[in-house]
Amino acid sequence: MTAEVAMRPYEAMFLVYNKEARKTHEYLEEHVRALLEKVGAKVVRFHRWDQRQLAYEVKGQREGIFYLCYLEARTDAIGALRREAELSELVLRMLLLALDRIPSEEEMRRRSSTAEEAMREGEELRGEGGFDGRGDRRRGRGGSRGFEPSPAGEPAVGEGAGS
Amino acid sequence: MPKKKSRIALARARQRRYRKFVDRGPCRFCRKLDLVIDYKDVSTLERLCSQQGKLFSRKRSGNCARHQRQLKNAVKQARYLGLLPFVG
Repeated sequence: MTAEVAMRPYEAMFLVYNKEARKTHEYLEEHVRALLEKVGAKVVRFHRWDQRQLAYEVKGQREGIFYLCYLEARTDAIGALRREAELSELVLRMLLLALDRIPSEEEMRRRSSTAEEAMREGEELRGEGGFDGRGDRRRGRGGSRGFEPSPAGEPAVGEGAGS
Repeated sequence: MPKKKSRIALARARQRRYRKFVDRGPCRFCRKLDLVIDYKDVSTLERLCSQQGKLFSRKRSGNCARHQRQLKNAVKQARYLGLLPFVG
């Protein structure tokens, strides 16, 4: 008697390379779907997320297509899926995350707009000098909260010591 | 005499400089109850990273520990997929 292994929801992002192969999107999509079906995963939702320049070279490629997939799979199929993705020449990277449940499309849209709103409100609250990449110090230069040099009438430290 | 006065002025200036980190409200992500920090939200992650690609400190961004940790994971996942640089 063998116990039934439960199906768990996962989110998988595939980074696929296309330029040299000149394959159509349908071909690449079929390729990724075939990987999933090979290990017995049930594809709940699958779409092309984006095509963009990469921040750094991955296997010599500067550009890639991202496929986002929500799937249900047995926990023992995950190792096989990772191996298949590793062996595939078209799949450059795969990120697989275990989820509690698969979010609906409406939920996904709401999440991204909420994050955007939170960022906007955060920057409004903090005012200028927010995220300029200049480090923790020197922020708020010229503002009332920042470092204020001593008034012109007062000598700076060290000046009075010598006289 | 002028030396003593300037030291006091300097100390006050120093106090003013560090006071800005003391009084702050809740973290920007804590205000949104249904918010999930996601590696796919690259624009949000980029805005919380420096030009070198390093995540801003909590002191700098004002995030709570929980959300800073979620951001850290999201940035690492985005880096793995080539969405964000390891080094800017």
